[in-house]
Amino acid sequence: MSQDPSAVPRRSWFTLWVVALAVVLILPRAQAGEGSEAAARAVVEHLQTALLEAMRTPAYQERYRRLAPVIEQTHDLDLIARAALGRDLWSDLDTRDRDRYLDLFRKMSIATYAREFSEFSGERFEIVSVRPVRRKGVLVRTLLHKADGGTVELDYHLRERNGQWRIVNVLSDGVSDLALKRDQYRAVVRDRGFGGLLAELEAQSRPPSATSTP
Amino acid sequence: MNARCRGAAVGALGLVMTLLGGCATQPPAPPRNPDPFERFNRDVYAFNEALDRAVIGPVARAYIRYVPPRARRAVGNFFTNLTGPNVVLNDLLQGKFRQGFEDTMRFVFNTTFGIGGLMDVAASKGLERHEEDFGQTLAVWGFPQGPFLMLPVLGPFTTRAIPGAAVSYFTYPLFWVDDLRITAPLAALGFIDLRASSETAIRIVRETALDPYVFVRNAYLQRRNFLIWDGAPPLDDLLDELDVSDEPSEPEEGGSQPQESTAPVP
Repeated sequence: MSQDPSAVPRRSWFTLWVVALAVVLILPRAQAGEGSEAAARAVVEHLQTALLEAMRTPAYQERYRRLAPVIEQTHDLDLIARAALGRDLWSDLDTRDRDRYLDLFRKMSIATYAREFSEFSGERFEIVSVRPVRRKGVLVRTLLHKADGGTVELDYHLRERNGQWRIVNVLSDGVSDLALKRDQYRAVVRDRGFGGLLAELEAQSRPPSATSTP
Repeated sequence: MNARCRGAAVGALGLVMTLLGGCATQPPAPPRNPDPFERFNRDVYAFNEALDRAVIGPVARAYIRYVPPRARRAVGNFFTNLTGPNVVLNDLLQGKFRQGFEDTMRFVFNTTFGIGGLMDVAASKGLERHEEDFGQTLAVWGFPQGPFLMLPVLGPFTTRAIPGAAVSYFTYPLFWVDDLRITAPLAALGFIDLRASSETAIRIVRETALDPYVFVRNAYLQRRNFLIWDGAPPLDDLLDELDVSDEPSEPEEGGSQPQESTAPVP
């Protein structure tokens, strides 16, 4: 554009500036902020609705079949798996081992949800707050109201990757699932090697009858 | 222990607390290796597991099976209420005077209207339960966490939490009852109640843990940290964990960046 600045009155220049600034700086940020919070909230609601449905489904295989697409859609399982192993151990693996690890981690994650969310006795979820956290993250705080009147604080940490908001960590009553996994995985690799870790993940991926204890 | 001994112990404790009370700071960061006695602790853990599978667990599950939920809740309320004086004391030692007042009212309401604490009437009046103990107070005062310890029967502890166990003991109302015919059965019931209330957690550990000892250690340390920070620990550590492997296939920005000091301890 080849406009002469002097052709426009001073006041409209100022207005134009303010509008331009608002468009460039404020609007996209506000949009991104509110949009991402709404998106993150929707992801958690989607998961929790599926979990309540699973709890009303008596057969394990059926629960697994229904939960699998939901878990994969709502969780960034690859990122969680890599973070659980830690950068140094991950970089030691070749492509084949990485693929095996990611595949077993995915199966183990779905199997764990299918195994633990198996009974319904009037539980319900409540979303308490949604707020942005450092570096493109959103924290969705929720409460699980148990049948006996007690509550469990479940906080979901979500991140955006390739335009999709996904869960990267869950904190139950302040205990980070990712920290729990990482400490254990690294101990298993230290004591029994990477093969030992794969064997444990494999065992955790089996239906409950094979792993349950009296 | 006779009454005079008890008085002296509590008096000495009071003196130490007064001397330390002035130095309230932020809880210090956890040590780089929280568990230097891991081999010993693992042996104790194996012992505790064997004891639990053989005796304590079956007793707790029988308790859950035969005692109706409402009665179990009343028992749980009763023992929780008895920790009231300890909670109030540590509210005050941490300078949480408003919370100390609320917890005092909570203890008074539940002990009287709640029939000796069997009913949690205070919760319905908006007086929520707080979890405080002297181990948390020491953390708030700036004492380091110290090595992680797995104690026989009692389970996971940090060194810093051990003086807390002593304070919990002295401030427990049953400690001041001299008749063993009353205290012994109540102590046994309290222990079974505690174990029964952990049944789901213990089942989850046994079903989902890859390394149960590490699971218990990590969950305990995280939970303690959560309580020390009153439910709002700094999120930074948790977020940093994700950055360790975030997009590893992409080249590092700016080429050779110096490694951060958050590298895991070998």
